[in-house]
Amino acid sequence: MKPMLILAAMTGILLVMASPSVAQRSEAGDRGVRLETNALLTDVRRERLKKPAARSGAAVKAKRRIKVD
Amino acid sequence: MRKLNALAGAVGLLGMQPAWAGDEATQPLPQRPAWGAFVSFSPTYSNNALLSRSDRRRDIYANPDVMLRLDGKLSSDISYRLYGRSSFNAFAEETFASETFALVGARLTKTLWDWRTSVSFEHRFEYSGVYRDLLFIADDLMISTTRDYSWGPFTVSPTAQFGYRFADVAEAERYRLDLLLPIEAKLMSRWSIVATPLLEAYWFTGGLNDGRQDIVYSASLGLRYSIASNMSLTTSANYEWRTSNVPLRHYRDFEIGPRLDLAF
Repeated sequence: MKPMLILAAMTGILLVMASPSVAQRSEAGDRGVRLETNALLTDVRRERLKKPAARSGAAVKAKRRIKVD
Repeated sequence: MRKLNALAGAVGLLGMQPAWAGDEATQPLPQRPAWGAFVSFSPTYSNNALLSRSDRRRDIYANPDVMLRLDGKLSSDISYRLYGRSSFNAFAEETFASETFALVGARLTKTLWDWRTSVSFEHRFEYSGVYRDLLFIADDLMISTTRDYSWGPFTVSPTAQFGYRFADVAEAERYRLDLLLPIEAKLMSRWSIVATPLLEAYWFTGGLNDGRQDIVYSASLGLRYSIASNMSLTTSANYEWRTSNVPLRHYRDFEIGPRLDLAF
């Protein structure tokens, strides 16, 4: 009887350890690692980009005036 | 877009009120807040899609990254940024490796002794697959500092970032330190060589990962072509090596691919 109980307990422990919920939980630290590294490197590249300058209404009018002149 | 700018002005002015309360007469008028949209896309080859120690599988993945942000100034030397961002990896074959994040964040930046120093907060949703199953929700609190050094055609931007992640899954909670050294060498008017040595250190604090320590060393080398001032194409190769006090978490990964970045 005793060996059967020990075997059942060990099987139970192994099943719990191998269950997807436990595996998924421990992998929560891994999920997103690649994305976060890529996001960090993307931030570095974006720092070097310049948005097209927004032209104010006055600047656009001045440019039109120059063209007309 | 004009309507968005008007809204940005209203939001920005609301945010500026505390800064003005002290002495309106002596404060210079803050600049108008400005909207910006940033889009990146990269098809990338990886020789270890699962980031596994032993189960190495090669695959190609798409990695779009979209960010909408509002930049403004609270005072002459403090700027703020409010942003929303989302990105995913979609693998062609190894779909288990696909993942997504979506976040909203806020950042305050001040220049201290020529170093642009920021504190930021991000509320993040992490999914497996492409927006498939929600894995956890996290709040990241971070401090970072960076500056540029230029010598002739070379620009080096040492950057350090440190933060803590609070999450609704204990296993995702950790401290993180990033040390980067982005280097750019201009070749001709539009061409540059770019390289980024990077060290990431993680100290996990919760659940099954309590006590786990990971260090990721990586280096990328690439060629950048500036299509326009707001658009660039960078083809780079990246080698990454993770060590951990949990041997199962060791891996090496090599990735290569072009990346297109646009700003609007």
